[in-house]
Amino acid sequence: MAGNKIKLQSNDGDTFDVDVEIAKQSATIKTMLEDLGMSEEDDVIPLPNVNSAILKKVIQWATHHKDDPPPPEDDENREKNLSDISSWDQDFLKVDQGTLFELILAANYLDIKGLLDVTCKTVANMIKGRTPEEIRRQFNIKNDFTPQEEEQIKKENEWCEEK
Amino acid sequence: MATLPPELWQQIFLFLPSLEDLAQTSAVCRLFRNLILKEWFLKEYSTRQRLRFMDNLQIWFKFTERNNLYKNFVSADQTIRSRSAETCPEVQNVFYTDKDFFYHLPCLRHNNSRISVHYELAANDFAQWTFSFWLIMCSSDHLKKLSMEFSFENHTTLQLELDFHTGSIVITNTIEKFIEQDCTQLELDKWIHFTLVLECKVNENIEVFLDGNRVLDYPCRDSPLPRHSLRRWNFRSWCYFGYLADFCLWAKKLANYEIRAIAEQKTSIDLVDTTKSVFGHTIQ
Repeated sequence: MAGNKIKLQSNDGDTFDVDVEIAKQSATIKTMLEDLGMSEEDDVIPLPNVNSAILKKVIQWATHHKDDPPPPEDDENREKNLSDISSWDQDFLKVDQGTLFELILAANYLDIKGLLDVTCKTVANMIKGRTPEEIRRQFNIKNDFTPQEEEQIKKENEWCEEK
Repeated sequence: MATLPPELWQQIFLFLPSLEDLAQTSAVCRLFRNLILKEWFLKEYSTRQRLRFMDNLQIWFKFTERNNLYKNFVSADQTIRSRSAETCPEVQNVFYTDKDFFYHLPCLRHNNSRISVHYELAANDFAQWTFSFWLIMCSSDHLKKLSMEFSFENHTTLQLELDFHTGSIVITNTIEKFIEQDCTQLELDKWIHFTLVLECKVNENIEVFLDGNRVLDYPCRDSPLPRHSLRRWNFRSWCYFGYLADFCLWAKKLANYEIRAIAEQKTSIDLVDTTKSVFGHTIQ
């Protein structure tokens, strides 16, 4: 029912009052509410995988997107819808890399398709157009190929350099 | 800092816009390489990549269904005039020495005929165009020539002629012939995939590919190629005996590997799998 609130509890103990409709963008929470009958107002839903800073961000995102139409099922439209990131989301995702990764983990755990897509897309944009070395630097990844393997891969990828 | 489990990296990689990006990412570390070179991942990626490949496809003409053109089709006016061009013909098996060579039916058969197709393209700012089709020119044809014409916003035109008799490609603008290129790939009685890439406006350039290989690359700074948008597209072909299939016009420049994939896979545009063409041999 409109206006109903539920309480979400982060893993560091903070609770947040959230509209049921907003919280239901999380398929995980929706399932809990519907399947487990956790609809009483004073029930608290514990979210052991999300800390309060991230939960706050997630709620902020879900509140902004509460009136969005559900994401289209078929891949074609999904791709089209996601070819761009809205300017609100771009601003929202101007965060450090650690926070961005935590948002991805939270979106995945809470099963919020829209948030997962937009955060993954943001990371993909950080990779786009970069060389392997630049990507390693960006994400602090160690090059664990042997020089021979690296040579081999470089050869295989020569077509990338074609003009 | 938080790290991501492998399956979420894969979710991210699915959003990489091009196969170049995917290839570069697969060269970062063993984990990334293993995640990308998985058959199911590449399958999933190729589904998305195919949509990107079809993006900005303005015209896709399959000859069977005159009115059922690709949904991005923007023409206001399209006519086909022909004396005896048949739609959806039976391809005579005399041209098939290898049955598996090309599955692409139907095609348009020229039988002492002339086709003229005219498209008005929606006004837009696209500066890059790719045009491709399959053809067979039969040795029984008298002239062994196929010509086509593009018109630009300022009404100048560009004509391109494939001359199988002399084995050359000739490009002419309204007034003068400015490219004549010998081309041994123009073989008779054989399916050939033809691609023309036009860059207008900023970097004028003409490229021609036959069977996925670039045979002509003509930078035309200070050239006869008009600095204008492509507005009209006239395709005219005169030919006594030959087949054409799968006309496509994209409002973008296809990458070399995409053009190669079309030629290699010998299938219709909607079935071309560019991902397979690039990564097929490395799948784990």
